[in-house]
Amino acid sequence: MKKKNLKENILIDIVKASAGFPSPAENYIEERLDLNKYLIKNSESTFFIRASGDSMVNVGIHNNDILVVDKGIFPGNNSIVVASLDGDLLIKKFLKNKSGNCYLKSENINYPQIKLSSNMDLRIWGVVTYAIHSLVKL
Amino acid sequence: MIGLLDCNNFYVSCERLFKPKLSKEAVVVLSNNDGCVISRSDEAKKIGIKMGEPFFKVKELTTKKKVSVLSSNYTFYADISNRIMSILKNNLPSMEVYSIDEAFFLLNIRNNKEKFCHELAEKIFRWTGIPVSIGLAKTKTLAKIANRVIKKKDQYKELRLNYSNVFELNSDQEKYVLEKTNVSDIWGIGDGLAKFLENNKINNAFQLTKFNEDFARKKKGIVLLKTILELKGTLCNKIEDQSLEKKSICVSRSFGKKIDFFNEIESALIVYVQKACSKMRSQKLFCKTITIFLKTSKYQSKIYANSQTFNFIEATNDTRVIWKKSKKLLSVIYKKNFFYNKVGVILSNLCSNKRIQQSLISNIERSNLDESNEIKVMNLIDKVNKKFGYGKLRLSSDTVGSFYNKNKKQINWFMKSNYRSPCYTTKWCDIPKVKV
Repeated sequence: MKKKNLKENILIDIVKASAGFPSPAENYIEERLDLNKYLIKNSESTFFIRASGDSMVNVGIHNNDILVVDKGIFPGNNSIVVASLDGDLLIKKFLKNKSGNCYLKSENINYPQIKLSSNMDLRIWGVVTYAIHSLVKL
Repeated sequence: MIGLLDCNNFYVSCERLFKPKLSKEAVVVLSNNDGCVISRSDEAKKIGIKMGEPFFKVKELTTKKKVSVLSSNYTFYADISNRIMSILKNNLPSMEVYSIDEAFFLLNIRNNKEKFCHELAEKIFRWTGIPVSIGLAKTKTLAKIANRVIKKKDQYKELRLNYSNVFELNSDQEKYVLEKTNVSDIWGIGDGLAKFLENNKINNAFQLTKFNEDFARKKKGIVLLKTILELKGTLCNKIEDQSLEKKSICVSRSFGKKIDFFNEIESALIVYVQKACSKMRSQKLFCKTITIFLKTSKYQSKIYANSQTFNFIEATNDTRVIWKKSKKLLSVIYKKNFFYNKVGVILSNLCSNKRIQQSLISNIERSNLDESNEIKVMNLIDKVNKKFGYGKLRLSSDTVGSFYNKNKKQINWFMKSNYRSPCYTTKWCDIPKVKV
């Protein structure tokens, strides 16, 4: 008896696959959301970097977060940037005040801001566009 | 107009991307096994380190002059290269990837060609951090020379190029540039051809344009004739848009130490064979011919080199089948009491699955090829390895599973790469850490 049931089941399955109604949603199917597309504008110029330190907590960058960095974007005033200062990479807010002075500002009261002077070698490496922060302990 | 884009000191430039400190220092990158110098920063060139020089010969100099020495990290370089090629594809109507750091392209605009190229080079530098040079000319051969002019400015002093990284070779300077270019520095002229030409009193590119074409063709064939015509401005080599189907796949590495035991060579070869097979499958190809080669170093007192080829009745992509044959071929060419430094596998006679010629005694239905168990198993292996890391699922006789020494096990054939940088852009655990 059991065996017979099994056979019938298989038969029904086959029928289902070959005929049946087309999905009513067929014409409404859209591609599922893709975080890559949301977070990355230009894949050629985008790099991931791991943050190390707590000097930018007020803008939401925590220790060990993964940062999305776009090298292709021009930094503006108040951009969070990856800067190369005298050969070292670091992440700060880029500020330019009315008198034309430039600063690299931390977003944590415990850290001073760095005033940029002409004898420093500063290059903006890229602009941080997103911080990915994990809320589960792995 | 044809352009040739070439990345400046490509491997060194890649290494500098996440280490700005290196940007003002002398840096060299070594070939596989830390054998020879294969990329040098301008500072390292000035110190006098030659291209291709064995590392042991310059090791002392690098310590004395504080040159940063790095092992090659092809995983990282390939990712940066792909980014650059993709930018080119998106900005140009037609381009051809020529090597990891070079691409030919077609430029159909009339005016402001140099301005367009300057902007393109600037964009690539800003987006990827890699400085590039672009040579423009009527043909590929001339574009190569135009690019050379940028790289070797001091050999073409009268052009007064100074800092430019774009150069268009036009008729005004053509004679001067060609006269200053030795035949051996022309694209497609190797050592043998250069000697032949020098014996015929042809020393530079300009003299070559005056060479008797019929004589050239009769003596050295169509390749030399094409070079002459291209130097004169006649387009012979077109931009190859689609990447051509590969003719063969070769995987081989030199060993970290010289080895003589069959078992050790075999344990290296099985890794190479699996790598070659998965490479082949990633391009949806099958092979009909395999070749195994084995050799001692040229500098050894007892030299030996041999190879064996086998043709399958029916093309295959099954690692198990290919390994079984490879092992047999290795045992045919292996001889005791030699110290070997290299073994390798070549898969050739490649075809796509639609073009497989089936044998009469085959038991797989042609129409069901994709459904056959063999192919399903292979696809599964590739899938698992793609997800969990290369070598996770492998043949049971493969005890090692990798080119590199991950667990510091004592295995003699592992490649030396003592100064390798992390895979910054392809492994989550390797992404660069930056101080916040």
